[in-house]
Amino acid sequence: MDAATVIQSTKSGTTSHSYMKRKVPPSGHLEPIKGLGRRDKQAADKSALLRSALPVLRKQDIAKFRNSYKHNLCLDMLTEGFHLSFCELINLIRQQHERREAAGPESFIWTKPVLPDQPDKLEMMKMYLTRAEAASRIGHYLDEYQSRYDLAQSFKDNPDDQWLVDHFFTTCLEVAMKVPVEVGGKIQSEGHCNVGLCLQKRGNFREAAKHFEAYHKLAANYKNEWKMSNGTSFYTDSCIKLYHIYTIIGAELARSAEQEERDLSLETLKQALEMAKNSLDKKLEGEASFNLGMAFQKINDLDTALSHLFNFYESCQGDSNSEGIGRACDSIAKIYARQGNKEKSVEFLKRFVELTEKTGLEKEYCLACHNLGNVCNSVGNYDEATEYFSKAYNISRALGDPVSTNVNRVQYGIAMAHRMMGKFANHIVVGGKTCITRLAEWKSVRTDEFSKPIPDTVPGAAHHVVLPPPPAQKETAHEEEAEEEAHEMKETQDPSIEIIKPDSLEQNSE
Amino acid sequence: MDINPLANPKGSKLICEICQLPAFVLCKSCKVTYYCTHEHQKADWVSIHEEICDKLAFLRQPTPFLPSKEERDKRQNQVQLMKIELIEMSRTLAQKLLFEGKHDESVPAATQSLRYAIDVYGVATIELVPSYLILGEASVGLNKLVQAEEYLTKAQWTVMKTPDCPRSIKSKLYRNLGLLYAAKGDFQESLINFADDIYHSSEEFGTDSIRTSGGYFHMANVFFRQGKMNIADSLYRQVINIWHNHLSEIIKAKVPSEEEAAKSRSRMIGPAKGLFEELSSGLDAAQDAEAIQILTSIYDIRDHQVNRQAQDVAKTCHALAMLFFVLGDIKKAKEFGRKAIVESDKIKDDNFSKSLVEFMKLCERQGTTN
Repeated sequence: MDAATVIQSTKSGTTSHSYMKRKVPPSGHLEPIKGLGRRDKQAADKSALLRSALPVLRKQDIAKFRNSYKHNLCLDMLTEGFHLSFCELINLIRQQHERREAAGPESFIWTKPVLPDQPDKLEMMKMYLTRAEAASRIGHYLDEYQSRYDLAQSFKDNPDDQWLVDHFFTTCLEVAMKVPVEVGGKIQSEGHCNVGLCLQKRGNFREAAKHFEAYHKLAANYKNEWKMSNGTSFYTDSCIKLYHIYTIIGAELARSAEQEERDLSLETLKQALEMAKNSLDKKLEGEASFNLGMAFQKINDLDTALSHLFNFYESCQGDSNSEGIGRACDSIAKIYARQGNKEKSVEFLKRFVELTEKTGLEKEYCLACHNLGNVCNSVGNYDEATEYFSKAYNISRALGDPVSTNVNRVQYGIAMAHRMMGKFANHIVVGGKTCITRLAEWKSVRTDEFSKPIPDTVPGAAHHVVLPPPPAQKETAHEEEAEEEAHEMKETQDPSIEIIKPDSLEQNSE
Repeated sequence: MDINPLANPKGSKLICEICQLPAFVLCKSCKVTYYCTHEHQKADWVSIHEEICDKLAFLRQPTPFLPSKEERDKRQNQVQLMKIELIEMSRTLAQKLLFEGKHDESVPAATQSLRYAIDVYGVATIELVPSYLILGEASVGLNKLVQAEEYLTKAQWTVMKTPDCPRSIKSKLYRNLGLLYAAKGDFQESLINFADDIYHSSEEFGTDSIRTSGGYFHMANVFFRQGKMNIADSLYRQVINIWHNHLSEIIKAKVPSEEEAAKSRSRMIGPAKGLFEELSSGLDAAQDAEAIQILTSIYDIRDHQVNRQAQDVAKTCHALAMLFFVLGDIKKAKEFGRKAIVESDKIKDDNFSKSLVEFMKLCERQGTTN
């Protein structure tokens, strides 16, 4: 029948063709209708042959061309009976679509490719999901878990697919919960860990902590049995994860304005320390102690803070972590300074300076010098203060950090003024021609000749310090002033100033 | 040569509403509908004529003479609206009869809707497809497969020629094709069609909509007949879950307070409840019938299963009980509620038992106030 229709069509085709060719019909005589010519017959045979060579298309084959890739994929899944996988896939696609629509065409997410346009991803999801569903149908939840886990892992590399990872890890946990604890404890704990990590990544720390706690609880029963591929036990891992999340939560709570929350923060940090101890990792323990020490220092519980900081100091010394030691020295010295124990403070700061000088940590070195200068200044040891501030000033200039340069510049000036002030006062007390001349000289051209011995007096009288060191509170006031000035200077943005303005010297000395 | 019955005016051909043969019987109440025999009149009456008698009387009366253009336009509009209403009415009724399993009764109603649809929208338009689909389904039900294929092919052709065909229609078309192939015994083909149905319906209504559940149900039946029990089981479970959630939502929305419950009850069993008004269940008549059909047949299957799981049976019973409750059949609701409780005692799921107990209390309250 097919052949017959073909012949018919070709026939009508040729007749119309010949009609078209002759624009003017021949007058009067009608040509007899010819039978099929040889050429026509050949053409008909050829097309019939071609047609018979074509495969017979079934409906599905046609549909493959007519439908979208996603459509065909879904049909495949459904005809094989994997309706749950289908639902999951469709809902994921819909979820993405809705999020995209909500964000609007202006947003960043709009430029990202959507799932229906990524056949390889769809194919992969289909494969793993159907495998998982087949396993779940016969009650092999461990296999189902594995499939979903693999799927989540395969999306892990691409940051755009983070939401898919989240989704599959969450379903992993759901599957794991279906298995009794005796068999599925391990995958349950793994599931909790993964979900916790996802939540942590998304910034949902409280929920993450809950999952990590569950993980910890499960792992605590099998401290030695459950090991990861790299040999660390699940228990240790859970402790480390919990330490991290508690530290984050603690820091977050500490920033809050409510007193209760801040107390809670201290509790959380203590828990973090506990976890760090459980993990048997000295370094983590040290870090936890440091955090806790800083928290105690903030609430003015200085003794407790000190004890924690010493823990940190020791742990750092244990694995010779010079950066950590520096940090510890610095904080300890600060606390001593606050307690009024200047000697100890200076001692630790000197350690800090030595250490940083040795290890070449420029920034820390600068900070150490600055702090030490401050302390020296406050105890009246102006010579050393000048020395350290000049170091700090030079280093910060070398580092090119404008804020610290300005601060150190002012502090340097203050220290120099302090150093000069005693001699200056001495000259005034002694009086005499030379002294007056020197004072006048200084007033007019700023020549510093106060260090020279004053004639007709005991040698060293010029150095005799008459003024007592300024009290500590005043010192802090000075510091604030200095910082303010530094800021002002920064605002004026005049990097050419290299020498302290005489005016500021004058102010200080008066 | 034509023979005119003597009683008829010459030149007017009176043909039977059902079979298009010369007619000899007249409907007494509308006086515009003719039948060849009393059997046909009865069939039409049971199916659709009872509902649309007065409408037909209006539509089929000769056009009165109207002097002004406005009046003529007005009447034209009125007639058009009436026809559309008629189409909708007869379609819903036909669908309902189908779900109730009365295939032969639904044919006249579907034919009526098709006739007026052609009149209003023209031949080969997408609006005719629902009628074709109903006719196809009825024919499948009556085991007239050739006829069914004819109807469905017409529908398919129209759908294919309409590029922006609504997905809901596509879904229905594929569902019917699936039923046809299932009736023919071509399970593979029918699975493909049901898959297409589910796909389109999911895209339109979501994967967990009650409108999608029909596709799952039929697909489950095919797997059931193929002997793939675990797939069928999982599909049945999903259908039950969909209905269970939907019905719980309805009941939750209805229960907020004592008075409101009473109000809704009076609405439900009130005599004013017409056939086509939406029930308080939020389902139309056809969906009600579909729900009953699907849930009862799943219940039957579960009941006869040897290795059934108590949880599945309990959930099925609960869904059925809720359905009957929503439909106002408190007695049956209680019966299934009790069955659900018996089954749920075998499993330890506190939440489920609690919701059951609450539901039974609600039934009691409804029963006593009744």
